[in-house]
Parts: sequence; structure tokens; C-alpha cells
Amino acid sequence: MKTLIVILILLSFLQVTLIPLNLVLIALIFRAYIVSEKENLYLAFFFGVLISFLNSLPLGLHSLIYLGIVQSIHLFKKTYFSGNFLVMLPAIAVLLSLNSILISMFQKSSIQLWPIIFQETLLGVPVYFVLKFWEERFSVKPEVKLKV
Amino acid sequence: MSIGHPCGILACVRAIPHLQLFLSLTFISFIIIFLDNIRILSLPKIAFSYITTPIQYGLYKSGQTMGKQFYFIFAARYAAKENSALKEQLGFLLSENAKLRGKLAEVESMLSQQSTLDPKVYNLFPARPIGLDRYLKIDKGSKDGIKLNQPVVYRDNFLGKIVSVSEKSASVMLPYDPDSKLSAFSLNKAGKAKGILLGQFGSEMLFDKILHEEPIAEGDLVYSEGTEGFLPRGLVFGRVSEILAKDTQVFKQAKVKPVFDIRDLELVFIIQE
Repeated sequence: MKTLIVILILLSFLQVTLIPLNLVLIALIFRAYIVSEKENLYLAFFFGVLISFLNSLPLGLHSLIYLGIVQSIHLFKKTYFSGNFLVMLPAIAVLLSLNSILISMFQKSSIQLWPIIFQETLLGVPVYFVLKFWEERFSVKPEVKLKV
Repeated sequence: MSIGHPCGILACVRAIPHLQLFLSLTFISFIIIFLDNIRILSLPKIAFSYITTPIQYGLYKSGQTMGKQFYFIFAARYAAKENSALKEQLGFLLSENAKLRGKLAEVESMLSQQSTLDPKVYNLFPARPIGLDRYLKIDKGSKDGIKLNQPVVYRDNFLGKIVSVSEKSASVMLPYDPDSKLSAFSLNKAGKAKGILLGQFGSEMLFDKILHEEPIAEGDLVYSEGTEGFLPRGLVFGRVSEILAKDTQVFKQAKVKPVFDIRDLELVFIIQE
């Protein structure tokens, strides 16, 4: 968890300085998808506040949106078709679009989804596999036994 | 158990994971938004920005420095592409400029023509010179209504007459062609001199059969009499460059040179009627 927090802090700063993509949100979404625990809500809240602060937006705005998105992922995880990762991609695109739309509406600016949403959705694929590897690094896989 | 049943609602609520925590954090977010709106959180924000601003600045500058390292590669590629695009554009512009200059010269010719020979009196048909050897070739022919012996002019200057016509081109015999023989006169303050304008090889004409008593001087303009029938009276043939007078001869002569070089013309006009 400590490593994840450090990485998320680094991603927050990268997001507001160099790479204008929702890196923190993508990491939170996939973490919530891989591991459905309450710590995700804490991460969403605190990093939402940090992102709002770094973006000079009202504090609490991003945390509200991030909480809603993470909770949506928790609910989605309980559905029948959530087992397939490929189903997640369009869902992620929708959630990221929702985030952009809500921020644009608050800032009263034009909504620009293309090509940022496409880039963020594609970025989600390697992020998912990296997070999955990291979270399941101590999980022992059951051995395959041949029936004799 | 239906969804409207109290137990159904409770089951749904229990199905939502971490609902209590979610609602608590959402409520806290709203409180933070409210507090931020009324500027209570200004001081903590200012204090925290002393930590975050240098980090943001450091990352941003690092990104800029890294970008500059690779900039020259992109700049060189871009400059090469831009160079070839600009060369292509320049070629196109030069070509377009040449066409526009040509068209401008044509329009100016037409306007100046209209200011001399009245288009209400003469039916003038424009044509472009497309070749010059013994005869001047023009780009209009029988399909455009060109006929033999029609005069060709530029402003009020006589250039020649049509001697051969094909479908889309025609040849013009110039006044300094050896076969050209036209009745002419010159005019100055002292009076008028009549004669015959004969073509000589080269770009010269000989104004012959001028009576000794008729006044003519260097610099006088020579005009068409119009007695041949195919060209109007008063068209300029050229300017007297030299007087050839011998008392032993019956007539005097004068060398006449055209007023301008036919090779400089963009457009010529055929008097159709």
C-alpha cells in the first residue's frame, strides 16, 4: 500500500505538469477492479483532494467524482460479466468521459473527449497488467494436477 | 421478495459494498467543497502550495530540458519537410505569377485597344501571337471566324493582313514583308505626303513614290490610306527614320520603321468587320 501511495503521488504530479491524462484515475479504477476493498475509497478521496488542489479547482470536486467512479467499479465487479477484462475497456471509456464532462461542466469550458479518452483507455491496458501483477505477486497459484 | 418490499430494499443496500464509508467520504467531500467556497481553507492551501509548487516546477523544468534534448531531431525532420513543401509551393506560385502577368498584359492590351479603335465601329477579335518567322502566326483560325485578307492591328497600329488560315491558326503578312505593298501618307505641320509603302527584308519599310514637293521629315508618322479596301484609313504603319532624296530622281523615298517591336505583343486584334 505504501508503494502504491508513493506511485499515486508521483502520478498526481506527472498528471498536472507533464502528461495531461487522468493517470491517477486510471490507476484507481483498475485497482478497484482488481482488489475490491474499502481502501480504494480512501485512496479515491485523498487523491481526489490532491488532484483538485494541484489543478487549482475547488477542493472536494475531484474526490466526489473519484468516489463515485470507484464505487461504480465495486458495483460492476459484482455483475456477471465483470470477469472478462475486455468488457472493462468500454466501461472505463464511459467513466473517463464522465469525469471529463463533469469537470468541463464545472469549469464552463468546451467538452473535448477525443483523442484524450482514447489515449487514456489504451493506457489502461498496461496499467491493468502492471497492477494485477503487483497486487497478486504474493498470491500462490494453484498447481495444475493431472488426473491419473 | 420484491424490490419494493422493505426487506428487498435492505438487501439491495447490503449488496452495495462499503456503503457507509462511501456515504461518509461523500459527505466529507461536500463539506470540503463548502469550506473551500467560503475561503476557510485558504491558509492550509497556501501552506501546502509551498511544498507542491517547487515539486511541480521541478518536474516541469525537467520535462522541458528532456524535450529540448530531442527537439533538434524533430526540428530537423520538420525543417526538411517544411523546406520541400515550401519549394513546391514556390514553384506553384512562380507558375501562377507568370500566368497572371500574362493575363494582366492581355487585359491591358484589350483596354488600350478599346481606347483607340472604337469597338462600336470595328468588330475586333483578339488573338495571341504563337510564332514569328516570315509571317506572324496567331492562335485563331477559320473556326473562330478568321478569313483571308482581314487586317491585324494593335491599338491604332497596323500589324499585317491574314494571308493563310487553318482551323485554329492563321498567318499574318507583316508590312515589311517584300510582298507587302500598301498605299500610305504621312502628315506633319507642313503638309501631307502620299506614296506607296513597300516591304523590305528585315524590319524596315520603304515609303516610295513621294513627290519632291510634298513635305516629309524624319519622325513623321506614316498612316494607311485605306484605298485597298481591306483596312481602314488612319492606321499607323510606322515612323520615318531616314529621308532618301536625290534631285536626279523623280520621286523621293523615306525609310519607315515600326513604332514598336511585334515580339513584345501579348495580344493582337483582327478587324472582322
